[in-house]
Amino acid sequence: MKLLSQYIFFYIAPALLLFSCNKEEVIHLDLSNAPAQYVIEGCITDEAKPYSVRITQSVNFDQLNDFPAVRGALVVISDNAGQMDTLVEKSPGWYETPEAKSGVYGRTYTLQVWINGNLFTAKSTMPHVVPFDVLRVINLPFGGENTLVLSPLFKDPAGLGNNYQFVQSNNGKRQPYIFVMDDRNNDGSQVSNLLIAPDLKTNPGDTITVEMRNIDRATYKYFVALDASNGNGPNASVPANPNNNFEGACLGYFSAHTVQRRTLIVE
Amino acid sequence: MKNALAFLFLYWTSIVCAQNAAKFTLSGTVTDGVTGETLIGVTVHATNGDGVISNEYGFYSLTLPGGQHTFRFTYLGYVNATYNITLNQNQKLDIALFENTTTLGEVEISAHKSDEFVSQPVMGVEKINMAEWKSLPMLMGERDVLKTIQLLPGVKSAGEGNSGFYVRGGASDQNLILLDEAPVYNASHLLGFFSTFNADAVKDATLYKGSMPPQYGGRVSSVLDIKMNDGNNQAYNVSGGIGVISSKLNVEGPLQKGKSSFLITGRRTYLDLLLLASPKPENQSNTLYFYDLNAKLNYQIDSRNRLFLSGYFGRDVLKFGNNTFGVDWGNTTATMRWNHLFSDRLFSNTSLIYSNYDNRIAIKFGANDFLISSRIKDLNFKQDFQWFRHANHTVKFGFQIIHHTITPSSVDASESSDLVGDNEAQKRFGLESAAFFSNEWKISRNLKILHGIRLSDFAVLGAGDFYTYDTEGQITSTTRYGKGALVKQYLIPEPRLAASYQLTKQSSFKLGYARSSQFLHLLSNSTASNPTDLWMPSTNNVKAEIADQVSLGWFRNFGNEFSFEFSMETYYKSMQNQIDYRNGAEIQGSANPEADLLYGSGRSYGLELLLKKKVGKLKGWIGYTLARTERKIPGINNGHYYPAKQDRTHDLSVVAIYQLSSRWQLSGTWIYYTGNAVTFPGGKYEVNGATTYYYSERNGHRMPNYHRLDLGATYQVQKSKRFESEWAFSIFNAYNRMNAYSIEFRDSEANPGTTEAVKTALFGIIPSASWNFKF
Repeated sequence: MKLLSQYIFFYIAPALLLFSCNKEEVIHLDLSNAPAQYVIEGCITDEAKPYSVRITQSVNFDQLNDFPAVRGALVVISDNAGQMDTLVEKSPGWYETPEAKSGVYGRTYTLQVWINGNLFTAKSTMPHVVPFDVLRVINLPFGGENTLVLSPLFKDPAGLGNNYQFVQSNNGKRQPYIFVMDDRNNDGSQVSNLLIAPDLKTNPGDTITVEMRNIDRATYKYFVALDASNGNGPNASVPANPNNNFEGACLGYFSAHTVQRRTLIVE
Repeated sequence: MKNALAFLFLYWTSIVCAQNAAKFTLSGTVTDGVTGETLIGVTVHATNGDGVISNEYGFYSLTLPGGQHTFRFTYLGYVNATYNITLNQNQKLDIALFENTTTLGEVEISAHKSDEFVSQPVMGVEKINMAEWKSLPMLMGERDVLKTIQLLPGVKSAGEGNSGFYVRGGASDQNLILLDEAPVYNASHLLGFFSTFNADAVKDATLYKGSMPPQYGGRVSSVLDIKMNDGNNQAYNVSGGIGVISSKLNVEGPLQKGKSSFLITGRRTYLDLLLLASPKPENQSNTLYFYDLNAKLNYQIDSRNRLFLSGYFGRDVLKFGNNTFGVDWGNTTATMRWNHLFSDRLFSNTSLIYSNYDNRIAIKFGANDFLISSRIKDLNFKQDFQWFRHANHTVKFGFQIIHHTITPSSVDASESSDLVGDNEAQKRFGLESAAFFSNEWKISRNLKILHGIRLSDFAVLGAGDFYTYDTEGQITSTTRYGKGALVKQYLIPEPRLAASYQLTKQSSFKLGYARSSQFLHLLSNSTASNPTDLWMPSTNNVKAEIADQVSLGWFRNFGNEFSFEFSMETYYKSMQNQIDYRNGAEIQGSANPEADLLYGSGRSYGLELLLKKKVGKLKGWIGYTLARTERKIPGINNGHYYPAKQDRTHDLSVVAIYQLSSRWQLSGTWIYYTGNAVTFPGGKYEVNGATTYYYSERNGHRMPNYHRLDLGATYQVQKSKRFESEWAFSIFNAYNRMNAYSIEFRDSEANPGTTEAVKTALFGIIPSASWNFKF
């Protein structure tokens, strides 16, 4: 529901701009330069593949989108069943376990990263999997134009606390949209979520994949905040760095989540 | 303690029984001689130096020692009236004043401008007479009372072309906007570009930005009290206008000549008709308009009783793509007022007010058909007394009870909908009540004080579930309350004080203090004003907002016959229980928005200078504000003070109207202000496969400075008793300044691998014309 209301003003604003000139211009701003921050992105899934952690640094706004890899970090993932793995640096800034490992539902994982004597720690619990029933496609005639909207269907189990993330790719290319939802408004019911991405351009014959993830609460809140804080336009909230589940000041997140995929071909 | 009691006793007796010599009362109603409209704020002066001002219903009452007196009635722009009266009994005198029609103004009317500016104790008050400023240039030529007050110092526009406003660092939901005493929850049309007040129907607008008098309460920042015309009780007339985006029509006339009248006024925009002309066929099926309807009836039952019925109905409608998507929202208010004179000195007004604001979003696609709606509904009973005890004491007291019903967004889906289910959000109920007392006391010729107290109470009522939260915003406990059960009560005594000390005939010092509280809060974490923004009452978690303001000012009249007014005011305001949001809060469509709220404090202080010229060929003002507004909220900016969004260091406005000839009137406004405080990135990084911005400090940057010149001209085509018509021309943003509406950051398409800042400007130069008539 939230997704829908969020996009409503995506449609109202242009209507109002019909009678304004609404002129865009690239400008130069003197932005302050904050010190570089560490960015840690760590994932554990229920698929049999290596645990992976990527560590980079932030740059100034005026610099190229070239984010320096952080090399030589000590990266350790342990779980509450007594297992511990040290990750090795496969390529600059990419750390992986030497062999493939599947995450276990209900298990809590702890990520520890030492960089130049600083320790960053985060915990994430892999949720139980909720079956991804069907992926449907709906034509939503927003603003006079037909917009293709993907709608994953699933049954939310009774009891609050299920959080979901959907990742969409078009012909294998991952789309940048952030879709997360929880069950506060539809606990225990059949859910048909709408992944509304108005500027998604598709052509007949395109292969579209939606990955449904069960995520933990901290990851859910991280993505909600990430989405809102980086959203532009009239419906965006005041920009802020999303809070994450790390102890120690760094950016990014650590998530243990499930993965299920459904694919369809655009007619 | 004993001394205090003794003082109270003496004070009370001074109000109640200070009557040693034989005194008599002169009272009555002041009206416009042509239209019969009651006149608000007419100064009544007696030769012995005593005086009074006609109230919001045009009533005045002055009690003086018996004997020969000369009374002078003065009202700006009207011919003075002088009466010699021997008071040897209580006497009733209804006065009709006539507008000064010789615009070049050599007539005797100017004799004396009222010195109210210097002598009245309440400061931070601005009265806007719409007729006086109707020729100011406006966006699309739409006259607008809300945009006119934005030109005053201490009042800031909420954004480009926006009718929302901030007063002395307050938020836009902290302004109490009253239309004939009914609170208006959303005072804007078309997402804020136009206000809901049809300027043709507005008689008088008074803005209290400083120490609000005790009869007002419920919002912490300001009060904008708008009174509509009552309708001409002398003759029928029809007036109207045809403009670029809207047309309006006004019909009024007597029901009983000289006693009772009606007024109906309507306005409709026709942006959708312009869309029909759009080259894009998909635009032609879109709908976009708003309309307003004001209706009013007043009936004089007898010389002691008068009844007013008034109503407002306005709605915005937006529809897209063959009704697949529609939004509409609007206010409805209805007011019944009864003026009763218990005696020549005790005036009473009883009001029964209904007020409703709702918005609906209708979406239809395939088998899916659903409606998201939210609403706030008030039932309001108000009783005010004004007791003109004697010339040195005017006492006001009364009480008010408002029952609020608030329905946050709920979803109503048709049975065939398979994508969305019904979702009935919990209604919230509250009972807001207040009692107040105030006394305007002339202690001596030079010293006047207005002091009083307002006792505000808010009872949060069931039925409903109420929650407690931990520091992360997770529910820790739920309590269910039955219908009408008391969940939580807030009782806040609000002392109010205003004093003026007149140094000379031309100048005075004024001092004010006011505490005010607020129990309804607008939840909006976005930058634009949305019709779906949610009002929320105080609960066990959301505390009452409280503001304390002290202000100090120096006022001076100068020039020939006081044609110039100069004021300098400073203020300091501290605010408690201000609301902000957790990072990435979900307010819209959330069943539980409280979980995402944070509470903190705020402060604002500033200096306001205003130089005004109200008479002559050239009229206008220059206003300047130097101000600072900050918030301190645990969890934001590491708990340090940070500039609020509406913090603007400098704000300058220049307003001028020049009567070129009997037919041509020219006008211009120029504004300049420091850009709003905003949060811009201090760096960037990559996460989740996308470029993401890093923010180092909340509101640590500024939007570019804003400035704009608007020009206007009106040409009187014809003016006779039977028919009047005029052309009004305006040029908005005359030098086509591309002021920044928003600045966004994105990956550059032109230079891949880099990021860029993109400024969006909303309005360039916009000329417009309208034709107005009256017969």
